[in-house]
Amino acid sequence: MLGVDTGGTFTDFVALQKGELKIAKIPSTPHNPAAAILSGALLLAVDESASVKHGTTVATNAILERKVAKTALITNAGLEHVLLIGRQTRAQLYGLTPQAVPPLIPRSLCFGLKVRRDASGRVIDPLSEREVRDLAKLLQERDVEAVAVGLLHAYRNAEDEQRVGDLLTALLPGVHVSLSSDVLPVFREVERFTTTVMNASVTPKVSRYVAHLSEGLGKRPLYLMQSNGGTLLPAQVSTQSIRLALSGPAGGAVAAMHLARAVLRTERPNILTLDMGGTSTDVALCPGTLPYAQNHEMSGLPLAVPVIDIHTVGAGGGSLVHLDAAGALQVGPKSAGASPGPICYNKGGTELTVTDANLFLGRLHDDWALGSEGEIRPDRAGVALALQKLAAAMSLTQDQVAQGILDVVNEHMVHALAKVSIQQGFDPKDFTLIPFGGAGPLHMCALAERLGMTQILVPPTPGVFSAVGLLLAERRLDQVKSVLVRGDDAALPALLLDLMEGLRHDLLAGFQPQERGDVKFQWELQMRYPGQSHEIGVPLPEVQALGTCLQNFHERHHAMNGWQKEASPEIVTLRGTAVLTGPDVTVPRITPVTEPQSAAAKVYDGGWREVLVAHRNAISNEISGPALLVQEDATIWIATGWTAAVHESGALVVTRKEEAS
Amino acid sequence: MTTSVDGIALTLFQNRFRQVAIEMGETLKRSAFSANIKEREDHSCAVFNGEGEMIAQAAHIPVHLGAMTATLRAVRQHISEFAPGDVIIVNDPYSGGTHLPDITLLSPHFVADRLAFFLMSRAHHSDVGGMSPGSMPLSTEVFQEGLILPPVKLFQAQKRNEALWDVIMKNTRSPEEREGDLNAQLAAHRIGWARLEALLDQEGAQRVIRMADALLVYAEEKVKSEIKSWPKGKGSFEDWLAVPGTDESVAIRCDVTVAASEITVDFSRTSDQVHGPINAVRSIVESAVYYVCRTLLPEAIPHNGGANRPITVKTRRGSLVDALPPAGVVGGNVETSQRMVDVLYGAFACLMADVIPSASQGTMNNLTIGGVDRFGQPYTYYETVAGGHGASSRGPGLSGKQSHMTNTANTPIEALEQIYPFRVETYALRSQSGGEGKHRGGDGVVRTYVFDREAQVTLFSSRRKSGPYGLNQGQPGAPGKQFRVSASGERSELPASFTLRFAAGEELHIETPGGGGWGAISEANASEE
Repeated sequence: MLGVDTGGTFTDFVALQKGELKIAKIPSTPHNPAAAILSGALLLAVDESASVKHGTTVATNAILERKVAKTALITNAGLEHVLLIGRQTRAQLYGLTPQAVPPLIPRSLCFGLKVRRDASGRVIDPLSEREVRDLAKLLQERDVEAVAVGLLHAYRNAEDEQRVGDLLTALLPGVHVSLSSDVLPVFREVERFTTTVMNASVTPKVSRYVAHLSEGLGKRPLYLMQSNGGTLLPAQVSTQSIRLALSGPAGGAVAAMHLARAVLRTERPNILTLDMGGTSTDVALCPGTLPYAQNHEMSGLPLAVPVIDIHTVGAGGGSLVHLDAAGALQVGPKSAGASPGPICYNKGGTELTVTDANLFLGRLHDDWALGSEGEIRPDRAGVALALQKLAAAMSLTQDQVAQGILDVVNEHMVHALAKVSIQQGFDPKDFTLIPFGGAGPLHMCALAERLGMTQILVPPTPGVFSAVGLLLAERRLDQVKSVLVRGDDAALPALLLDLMEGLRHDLLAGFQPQERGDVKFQWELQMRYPGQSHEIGVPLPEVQALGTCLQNFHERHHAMNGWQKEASPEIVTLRGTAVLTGPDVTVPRITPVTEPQSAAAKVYDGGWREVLVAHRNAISNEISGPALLVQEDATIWIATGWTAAVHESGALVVTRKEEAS
Repeated sequence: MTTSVDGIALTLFQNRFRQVAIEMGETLKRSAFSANIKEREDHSCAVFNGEGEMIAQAAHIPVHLGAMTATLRAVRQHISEFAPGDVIIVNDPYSGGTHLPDITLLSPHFVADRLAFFLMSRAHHSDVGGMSPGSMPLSTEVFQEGLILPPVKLFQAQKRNEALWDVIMKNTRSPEEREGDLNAQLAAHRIGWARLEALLDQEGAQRVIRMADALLVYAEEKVKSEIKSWPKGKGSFEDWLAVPGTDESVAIRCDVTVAASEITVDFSRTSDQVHGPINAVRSIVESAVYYVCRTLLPEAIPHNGGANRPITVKTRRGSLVDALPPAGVVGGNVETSQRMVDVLYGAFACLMADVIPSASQGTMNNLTIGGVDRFGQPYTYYETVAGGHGASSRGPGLSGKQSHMTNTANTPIEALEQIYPFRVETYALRSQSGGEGKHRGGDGVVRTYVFDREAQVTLFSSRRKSGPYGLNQGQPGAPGKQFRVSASGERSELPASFTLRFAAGEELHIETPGGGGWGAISEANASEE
């Protein structure tokens, strides 16, 4: 089995064959991402029949760069500009000349049909098939490659959308058609239509990519990672390609949950993940389960399909340092990227980065590798010179400035972590931190201390951990239905049973007949007090447990908002998730490439001191901080006051010493 | 741990204080009931030090900004004794409020018996009584605008004043919503204080208080050093605002002086206050001035009281922008505040012609609809409609977006039609409404409503006779318009502001103004859409 995670700079590989784990990093090939994947499969001698699980950025980049298919929107007459107006707010509140979010499709490709239903789904203006035929002709003349159909209240009644879809499919062979009632049948037109347009506009490109990759992989079955942390089959991409929009970071959250379950010996571990890369950091709070976002935004556009609620901040190891006009130290959001990179990479970078500060303080050992390509000799002198200049400008010492850079970037991380925890009513003290990505294990202790956390779990291969998550991902499909009924309505249980039956049927269609018997279902109700607008999701094990589910809503509301009331909540949507768990995957420990050895080095930790530097695999039992552990794909900084122990999985369990206050 | 106040600690604490305000706002929005708060986000939250200077605010609604500092000042003139567990409520525009629908809560917080912080939340409630549903009436004096709450303690040492609570609930058309919204505001204060307390525990009270002061000085220094690089001199501008229900217009005049490292803004030459709803209290002027200055300053400067120290605002008591009771002020922080911004930019354009954008729509198109829904329950609904932005030297203006003093979202049509007995038939960009020029102004919006049941409708708008101005020879944007369309299809134009009954089957069409163009048409580039 092969897990492949395509990133901006590197494509990460984790191959599991004959009980052995091999990892590799290969420079990505953005013009044709399949090229790097195929050469990696060759390099690692991946079996001809091994399944390949893939986290892709094809859909992500198409949306970020607005390089999508020529797509038309068909909506109700009078709402043609619904995407351009959006929620009518501007992104920059204090911008002198606020700029528009670049649209996915131009104003000239937005069309209206004189058709209308009311909020109960009743016809006000009937659909004219003739109007649809005329429009199809126009779309053909304009050479559109894809069409998104979004009609008001289609979450209630989808007949008009389906009829439009049938007609267009018949009249426009080869043109992809997405219906809002298929992509996301919930109310709020701007979010639903935007998501439908995103789906339609990336589908041609994603379909072509997946076909090309499948062909190159030959007999190896391909599974694609979705934003919801589960995989789907290439055949489903034609209707669900928007579900790959956040394919990349989802793998890390899945891997972290898996590791935490094994090490913490509980099915519902409380973890905070920290994936700190070069330019950005992804964090997620998993309160016993993977969290799903209700309102996600991608590149200024609302993305309303279920995505693992991952919060991204524009700061990482490559973030640039500067002094602003009033003398305050700022870090990011600009990044040195892979080229020219930090000063210490010696590839022409002249501006200080977080990585440079880590190097100066001794937190990165002199001999560390970057990718599988070979070693880079860090440019210590260049870093020291740049720090000296900055220190003089701030009337501080080099040590203080370097430490200050780490403090400021850590503050960005703390905010990101606080946003997903404290702001949602969760206390980080009750969670275990799981740091990964190249830089996560370097910053973990400082972050945990700031948030009052006492336990950290460092994965065996932090640098390629997202790819590990791909190996572990289940098949997972989800879909939602609007309910809009109060919790105390006597008809609710029967309605839920009916909706669940419909969802069960729809979701099973995404699995092969021989798999269907093993598919398990999970249900969630999204609720609010009547009159509110923000829903809280509560799991519903079965319809019989409705009473408990409603009770749990009141408690969640109280935890998040500090108050609750007697009124029965309104059920806004029912979410069904179908999961097919594959055979258990055991990730074996990796064997060290070099003979483990230890040394001592000077590291700054409130003052310069001699600390132990060891290869991670040289650690057999407990080790107390301060200590620096190095490995092929990451460096781990165990700060003073912390103790690391090796778990049988190969993970390090790092805890704050009892006596430390 | 660093002991001196350095650049690193400044960044850390700037974010920490702001986080408290942001979290208050999130809590308020998440659990509120009014569409105004939960969908449109017409609310703001801020943290103040014990002296009443704003340390941090969540960037929500610009018009609330400067006004919140004035609120605290006014409250302290009324109330001198604060105790832990007190919550003060106020909406009186003449003692710290803005207009009556904006209900402000203020809580004092103590550190070892010393009054160290205040937290404030302000939210636009959908109804506080008065002569029309939604409490945005075309009034002539403040008494017609709803329940007036001078600064009073809603909670005294954690004990709710039940009599006051009952008075509030009896004076609104939607008491359940008021209760829910006030609960959401109270929750915001609880969360805010919990976060601030955690910070005090973690860092020590002395350090936190010292950092708050340091941030004020830091922002002040930053603003001063920026102003030093601006062109010096004096710029003047005037614009005219129509008085609803009359044919007359009144002048808003402003003189801006940029000296060494300070700015003086003088509105004294503005017309006298009028017998109508468009008067403003002085705090609105402060909000408009601080907003305009913010847009001219780098984004990274902390939003706090220190940033406002180098800016002096002058007004004349009894004028349109510094009204005396009992003048009607409901439109002061909507229509009049938007016009103040246009006048301020016009004055700054005398000093920095290439930087300033042309005028945006200059109105909020306040629409209030009230009636009885299909279940026989009374309802009130309020919204503001976006329009065109002014173009600038950088390019065309935004189309169909909120501008300047407001940034409230729309209510989704599918949400609105589930609840209220009217439908939105059209919601589209108004083609060719942006003013021409080298760069075109943004287009306004066409929004039409079809009433399923009889309703009382109030529109409060401006920029209906002349459009938003263009700069550097750019043409003005198209003025707004509105029509009633009868069930038989007959169209009749309506005034800029009105209160009228609409029968079932009738339609209201609103076309909002386009933004002003920028630069000469002869320089226009054909490819610009």
